[in-house]
Amino acid sequence: MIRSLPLRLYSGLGIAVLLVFLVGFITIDSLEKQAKEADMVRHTHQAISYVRDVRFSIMQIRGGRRAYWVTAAPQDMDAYEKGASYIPNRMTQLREMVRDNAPQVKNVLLLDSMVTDLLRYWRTTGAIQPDMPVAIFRSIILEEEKKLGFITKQLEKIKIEEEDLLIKREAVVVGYNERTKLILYIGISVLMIVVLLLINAVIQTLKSRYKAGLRLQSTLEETEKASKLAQEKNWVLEGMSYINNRLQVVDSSSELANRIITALVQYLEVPAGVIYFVDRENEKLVTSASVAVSAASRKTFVIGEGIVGNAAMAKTVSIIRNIPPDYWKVESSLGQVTGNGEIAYVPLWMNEELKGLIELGCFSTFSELQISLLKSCTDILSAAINSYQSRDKINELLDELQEQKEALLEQQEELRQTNDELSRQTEELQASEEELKTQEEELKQINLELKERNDAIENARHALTLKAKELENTSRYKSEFLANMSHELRTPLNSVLILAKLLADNNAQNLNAKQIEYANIIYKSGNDLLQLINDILDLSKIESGKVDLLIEDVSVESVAQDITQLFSVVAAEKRINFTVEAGAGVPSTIQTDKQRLQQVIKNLLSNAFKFTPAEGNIGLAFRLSPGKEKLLISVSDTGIGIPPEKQQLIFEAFQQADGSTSRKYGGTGLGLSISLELMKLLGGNISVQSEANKGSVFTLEVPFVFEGTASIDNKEYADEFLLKDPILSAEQVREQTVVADDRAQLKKGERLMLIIEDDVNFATIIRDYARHKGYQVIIALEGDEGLHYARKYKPNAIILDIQLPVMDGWTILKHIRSDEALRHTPVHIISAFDDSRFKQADVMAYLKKPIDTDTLERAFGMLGDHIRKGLKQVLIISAVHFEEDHLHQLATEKEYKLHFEQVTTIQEAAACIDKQPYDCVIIHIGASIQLQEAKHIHQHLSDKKLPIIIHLDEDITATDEMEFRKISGIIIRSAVTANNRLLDELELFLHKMEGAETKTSGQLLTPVSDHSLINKKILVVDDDMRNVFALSAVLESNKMQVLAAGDGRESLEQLKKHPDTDLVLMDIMMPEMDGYEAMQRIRKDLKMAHLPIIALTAKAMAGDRDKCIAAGASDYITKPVEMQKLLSLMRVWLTK
Amino acid sequence: MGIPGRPELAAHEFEQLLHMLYHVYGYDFSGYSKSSLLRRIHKFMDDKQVSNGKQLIQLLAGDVVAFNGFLETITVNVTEMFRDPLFYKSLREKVLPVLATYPQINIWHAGCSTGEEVFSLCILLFEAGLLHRTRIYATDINAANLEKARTGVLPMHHMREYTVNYRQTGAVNDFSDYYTALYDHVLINKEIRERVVFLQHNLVTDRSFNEFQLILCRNVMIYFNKQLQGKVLRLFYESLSSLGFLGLGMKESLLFSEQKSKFTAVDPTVKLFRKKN
Ligand SMILES: C[S@@+](CC[C@H](N)C(=O)[O-])C[C@H]1O[C@@H](n2cnc3c(N)ncnc32)[C@H](O)[C@@H]1O
Repeated sequence: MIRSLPLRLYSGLGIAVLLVFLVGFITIDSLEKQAKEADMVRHTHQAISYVRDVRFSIMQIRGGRRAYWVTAAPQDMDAYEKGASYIPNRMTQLREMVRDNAPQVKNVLLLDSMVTDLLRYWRTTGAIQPDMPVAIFRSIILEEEKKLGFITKQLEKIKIEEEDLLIKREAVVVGYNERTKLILYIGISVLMIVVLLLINAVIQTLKSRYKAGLRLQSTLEETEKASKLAQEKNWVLEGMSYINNRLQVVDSSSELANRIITALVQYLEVPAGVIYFVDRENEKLVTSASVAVSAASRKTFVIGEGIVGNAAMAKTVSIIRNIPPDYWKVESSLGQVTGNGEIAYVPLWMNEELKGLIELGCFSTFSELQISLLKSCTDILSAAINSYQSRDKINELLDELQEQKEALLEQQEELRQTNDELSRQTEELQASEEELKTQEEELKQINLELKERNDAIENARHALTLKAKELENTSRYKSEFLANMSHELRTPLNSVLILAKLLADNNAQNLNAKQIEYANIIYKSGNDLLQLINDILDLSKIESGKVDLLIEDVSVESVAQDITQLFSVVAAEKRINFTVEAGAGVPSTIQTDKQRLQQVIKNLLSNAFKFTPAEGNIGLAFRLSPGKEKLLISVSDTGIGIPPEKQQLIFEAFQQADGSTSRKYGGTGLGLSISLELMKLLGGNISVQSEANKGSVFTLEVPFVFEGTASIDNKEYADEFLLKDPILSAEQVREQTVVADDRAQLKKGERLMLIIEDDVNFATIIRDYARHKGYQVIIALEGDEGLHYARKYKPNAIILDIQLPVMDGWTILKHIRSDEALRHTPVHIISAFDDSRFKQADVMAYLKKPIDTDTLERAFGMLGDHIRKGLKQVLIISAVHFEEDHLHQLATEKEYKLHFEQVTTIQEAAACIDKQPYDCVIIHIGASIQLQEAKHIHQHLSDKKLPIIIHLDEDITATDEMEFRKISGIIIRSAVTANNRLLDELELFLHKMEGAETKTSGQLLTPVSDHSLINKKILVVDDDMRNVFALSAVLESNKMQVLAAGDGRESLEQLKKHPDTDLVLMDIMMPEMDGYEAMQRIRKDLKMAHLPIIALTAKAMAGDRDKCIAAGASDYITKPVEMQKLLSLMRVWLTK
Repeated sequence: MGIPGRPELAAHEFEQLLHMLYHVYGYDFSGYSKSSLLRRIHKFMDDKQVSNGKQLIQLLAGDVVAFNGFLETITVNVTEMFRDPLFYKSLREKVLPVLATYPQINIWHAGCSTGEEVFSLCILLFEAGLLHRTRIYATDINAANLEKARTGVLPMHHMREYTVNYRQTGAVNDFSDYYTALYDHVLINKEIRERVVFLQHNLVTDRSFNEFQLILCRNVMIYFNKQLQGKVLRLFYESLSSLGFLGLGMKESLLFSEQKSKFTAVDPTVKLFRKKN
């Protein structure tokens, strides 16, 4: 048997289930079969009903036909009509239905053929006509009945067959039913047995179980009791360990107190608690921490007094019960609670010493458990408090120590810093002291030098004034002496000569021959003396430049004629052969001073006649110099000649070839000196060729055109300046108030005329005229006043009289011309005084008084033209208004002579430039005039060499600036002072231009046609624009292609763009990326290991070259670059 | 002062020293003012416990590190921000308006020491709205100075003094706008220093390297003798564009230079000059 209950249960249940399945299955099977048989029965019924249907239809037709024959009513044929289609239809269904029954199929087929035959018969031969004769009708009917008979039989046969089938089938169904029933009975009874068995088994088991349950219950209750006890113990233990844990790692006793009380309150789940520590000094309990007790109730209690004090003394936990609600309140931030409750006091003792007291409040009662926990805690707590109290003491001491140590460290650090600071300060102080010392020394040095120089200057000045005084004196003495001498000598000489002449004439006839001869000698000697005196005066006059030359066109022939006329008589007298000839190509006229030239020739000829004995030859010849640029006039004689060593001496004053000659041949000996000086004055020279006893040839060189500047008495004026103080101070000058003028209301920027004229009436006339012409006028009535005004007001034009009080017109003119600021002012002279000097004077024009209005008109016209001509013409190209007025005003203030003109388009500009000369062009870069347009104008101006100034409103990029710099060296960005700088640059520039005009601007090297350089691509890397331009110019003129980069970074970019670059010129000191780094990158990053790089550097120290080479330079050249050297260096690196 | 018993450098030792420095390191000090140079050399000897000239020459000839230290000692590096405020005021009022008319402004600050003056100039330019189109080349002979200047870091303890100076230049902003304090140092703002390149350049041997509208060289030439001063002034003249400006230290002067005639005084009280052509 199966022993275990579950197994027995499972197997019993399993059998039951199997049985249920079996019974179920069999039942279902029989039911299904029944259903099938029932189906078949229904089928058979249907077949029978179909047979019935067919028979019925046929009968209907049969009836219809008979009626039709009788009634002839067509509706009697309806049955036939219906049946004709219905019957075959039913037949087919019938056939279909019996298909599974072979004998029945045969029957049905037979029936089918019969029916078909009948129908056909009815349709054809057997068709009924109402009027049909009876016979026929009868025969038809007979035939019909026969056929019908067969059919009916056949139908019956089929029907029987079917009914048989039906009976069989029903029997089968009944059989099934019986079987099913049987099976069910058996199945259910077996099932019942199994279930009964099972129930029995289960009941048995349950019974034993219940008994066991009872036993278990009692055991369980015992265990529970034990575990509760354990739990309580556990709780106390846990509480102790919890509290103990909470007491670990506590820094201070106050924290300890806090921890104890919170731990207790939390663990015991009481609402409030206070812990008191003992204040040993005051024998008091002091609240150290509390939970849910308001600050007001934190108090101190005397030990042994009151509830608290006594509780502390109790040495064991005491509970006070039934505390009334008004005794206490427990607080939280939410509010206060009061109620009945209990208070527990836990005194903490350690070694017979009270450490503190814990007071706990509770609204219910303290359980035994809580109390026991409290009791067991007291030791831990008092021990903890004890240990913390001592630890606190140690900590305190430690902290103190630490603090002291830190203070010490701090002090040390401070000391170190102070020391550092001190030494730094001393360092700095020393450095500043050094600087100060050096500055002081520098200053001392400067002072010393200043003093030295001052001394030197003072000395020099002193010497100069002495010299000047001396000079002044000497020259005064000299002129005085000369004047005196001429007067003093000539006055007595006059008498001597007159008397001598009287004597020699011997009108009284009382002198003998001898005496007459003496008188003649006296007369002649006197004459010689006079001549000598005149010559000396002459010479000194020439030497001091006090000779007026009158330069004019002189006919050479007239000179020759005059001379011939003069000397032919003498020649005849002395029986000397005198010839005059003129060579080929001698010009008909030359420009010189005729009188002076003739004086020289006469002097030479008279000498020649003096030294040439009778029968000698004297010739005067006019020829061209070998260079054909001068006229040579030679005087040749066959006289005594001059020995070579004396030939130079004869031109020195008071020298003759032989001191005795003078006595022998007469003459002052000054003639040749005077002649030489005169010739020099005329721009020519005298030379001599001579041989003693053979004769001499004196040759004069005379320029065709007189070019000397010393037209008029320069030195005379210079002398005058030495005598007069040239600087007029304002105080010395008396400003006139007689004639009203415009000095009080001068307007800047308008033309100003100064009139220096002592005739008040005439001055007034000119003033009105000038005002009429749009000038502002200032009038001076005296010379010094005029000069003073000229300096003070810087007029645009001056009208000047010559004869003036204090300082004459010529002097004023001289001052004006030597004054830097006034030199170019046009001066017009109007004078009653006819003076030949005006021809040479640097004046606009000279008018002689009295003048009429026409001449005045002409004079003003000339002045106006001149004023305009003196201004530099500046063309401004700007699409917007350019403030010319402001520029003009500023220019006037700065005394720059500029005239501005503005156009707005470059087309206009081009037209203007073609039409009229300008000195400078200013291009204002704005919306419609851009770099492109500026370039265009630059191109247009290229052959005119007109300077351009670029004016900008906004910032531009470095590359743009580069482009602009190609057009102009002066780029001005607008700013407050832009116009100021514009004018300064302009003035400077135009000034430079004037100076440079004569110089050829060819510092470019003549290009060498060198194949190693042609068409090479050179990259110039430099931030110094000057250098880039200079290098580019030279390289391009040598037919190289130049690329530029402004710093190292750009150079790398350029090289990436142009990997076919042949050579790089690399500056070192650049922003962004310096040359060293750039070279390293070219070598490393760009991998251009073989590209020649020549470093250009301003650095010249020993290590710099190595640094360049180390960075990757192929070679090295110092700035400023010598082009020739650079080119040859490049050649070295470019030839393969 | 000095090591007791350390003898002064004898004249021939001095000569030898200069000769050696020139030939070994390429530094030519022959044009420096002798008295100052001697004082600095003696200071170096004291600092380094060098007892005589011979030892000094030997030490310097063989040891680059010692030489660098020597270089740092003998160049006097005192500087401050807005040194001589009136000079900066004058720069602000008289020079910057003219510089404003140049599309790109080039400035050379020669002998810039540790950069204080350069930053001052930058601040003025910044306030005038010109800094962005200015390039400042700040040069000095002393690489250690340049290294310091490049960091833009200055010690804090002078800032109060600098602030006072700054105000006297006709300040428009708060000085503190231009720096950030870091512990006991300050960092001059990057945007202020952005347009400056610090480069090594020796005024004695090196040449002109660009064209400038303004050159500042303050308190450098006082250490030079007349001849060298002349040479350096010529270098500046060559490096100035026409009508360019030159600023010198308060104790320096163009008075006795041959260059005097080539400059006009813009503001003689603060030593600002302008090239005539
Ligand atoms: C006293 S500092 C002047 C600093 C600053 N310019 C100022 O005035 O406040 C002198 C500077 O000149 C430099 N120096 C001396 N000799 C030099 C030379 N030959 N070339 C360039 N700089 C030099 C020194 O290195 C030092 O930094």
